[in-house]
Amino acid sequence: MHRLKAITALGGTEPRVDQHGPITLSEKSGFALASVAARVGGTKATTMAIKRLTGAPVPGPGQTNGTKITAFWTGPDQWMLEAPYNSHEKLFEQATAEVKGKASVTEQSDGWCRFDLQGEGLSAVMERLCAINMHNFEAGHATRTSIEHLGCFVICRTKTHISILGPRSSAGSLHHGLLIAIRSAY
Amino acid sequence: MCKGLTSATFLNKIYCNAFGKLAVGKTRYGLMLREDGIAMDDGTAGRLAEDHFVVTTTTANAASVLRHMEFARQCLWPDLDVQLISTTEAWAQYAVAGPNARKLLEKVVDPEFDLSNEGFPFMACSNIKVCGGLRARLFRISFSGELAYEIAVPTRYGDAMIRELMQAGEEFEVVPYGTEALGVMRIEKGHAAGNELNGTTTALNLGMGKMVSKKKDSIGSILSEREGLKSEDALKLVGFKPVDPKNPVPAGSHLMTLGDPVDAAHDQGYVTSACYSPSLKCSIAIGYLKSGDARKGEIIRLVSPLTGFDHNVEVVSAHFVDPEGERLRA
Repeated sequence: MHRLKAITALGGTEPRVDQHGPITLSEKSGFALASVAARVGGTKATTMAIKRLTGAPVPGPGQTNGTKITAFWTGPDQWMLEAPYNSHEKLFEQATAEVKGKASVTEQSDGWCRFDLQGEGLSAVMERLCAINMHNFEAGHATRTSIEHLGCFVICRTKTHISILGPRSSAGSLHHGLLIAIRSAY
Repeated sequence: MCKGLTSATFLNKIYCNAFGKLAVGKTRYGLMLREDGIAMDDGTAGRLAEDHFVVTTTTANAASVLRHMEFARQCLWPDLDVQLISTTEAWAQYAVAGPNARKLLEKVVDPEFDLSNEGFPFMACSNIKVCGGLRARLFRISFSGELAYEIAVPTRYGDAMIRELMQAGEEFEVVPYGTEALGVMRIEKGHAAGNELNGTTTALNLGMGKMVSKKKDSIGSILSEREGLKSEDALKLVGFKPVDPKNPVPAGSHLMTLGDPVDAAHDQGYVTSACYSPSLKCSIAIGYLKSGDARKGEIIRLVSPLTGFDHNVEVVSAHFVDPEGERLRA
């Protein structure tokens, strides 16, 4: 085990949690990400590999699926895999082995920061932040949108639990924007 | 990050210089041209595996270069097997530069990796492990002109890594250096940056005309051959030193032949980057001068009506310090 100590995207040793009104905003640092992009002629093999990794059908556009390892669609023939960091720090290696050269896999764990919004009435917050149609945004949906001028992925875990993945270098700005929106709504 | 079975073929079309046969474990400086033949961006690309390149760009151009490469991948050559994704934020990368750079890194990089000049020569790149087993990447590249490396760790460990480097470097009197110091060193070295790749200049202007490979087709190579871009008296990147060492050589100044009137019709070029050089103990600058490469030794007039400067400077090579590159190969 190496001797370096990790910090979170907001720069803390522990993830930050904010509570306001009915909403809890939590910084999440314990997740691993790996991008998977099918190579030419490798779509079928890639979707089969993702199915084996997630134990669920491969998500189509706007969707996420899976159990311990989940996948969400990021573009034609491209997906992002997500799993707990503690158990899957080398998620990219696991995925690389699984796709057997039919897809390009890249570690993305530290490219993104993640903030989870939990509570009743998330729509009022999200409507202030982005153009997602919250009335139709349900568990299993995942999409890309712009929040505070940052390209973000938004994943609906349940009606009361949404994850927002944004560029890690802008974690502070994104967190600020989310807090402002929560305080504006409640 | 550029991956895929034909990623080398792809980069060979994106960069104007040769990339198809770059060996695994090697890094190369690359110049990208716009379709109209003007220089767009430069950087290095390291080949970590047959089908895996790490492409770096000018910091401010990272998004636009990725967009350009995505366009090329999807629209120009959809038959090539290439996948691109940004890894800019996934890695925290530090330059470790100076004569003791290797000694410092040897204290941080795990001992099974050979950092000797033979084992890890100039322009080498590799996946390594640091601080007892953390995955990392090492590139022996140098923008400062010194013996230098760039070391990258997953971003969450970036804070711990710089503390480790500072501690390990204490015995070598290591200091953090910022972009201002880097800017001075790259001007002393004659390395082009955004001021030189300003959207109006060609590889020829930059003194890299020979880099545009004629053995292959790449974006911009054809239109860089246009008559107007290859004129005999084309602007060439050169260096400038004040005749009176007390004088500055401010960027933005225009250059006039001695005795000529100071007007646009007689303009000979302009200064792009300037600094005080601690190595040469005077102000220095680089910039574009008509037929500049053939005018070294000439005294010309530097004029900046806006700031009131008007004095003589000598045309010199843009490579002020270590022109043979001995330091970075040490």
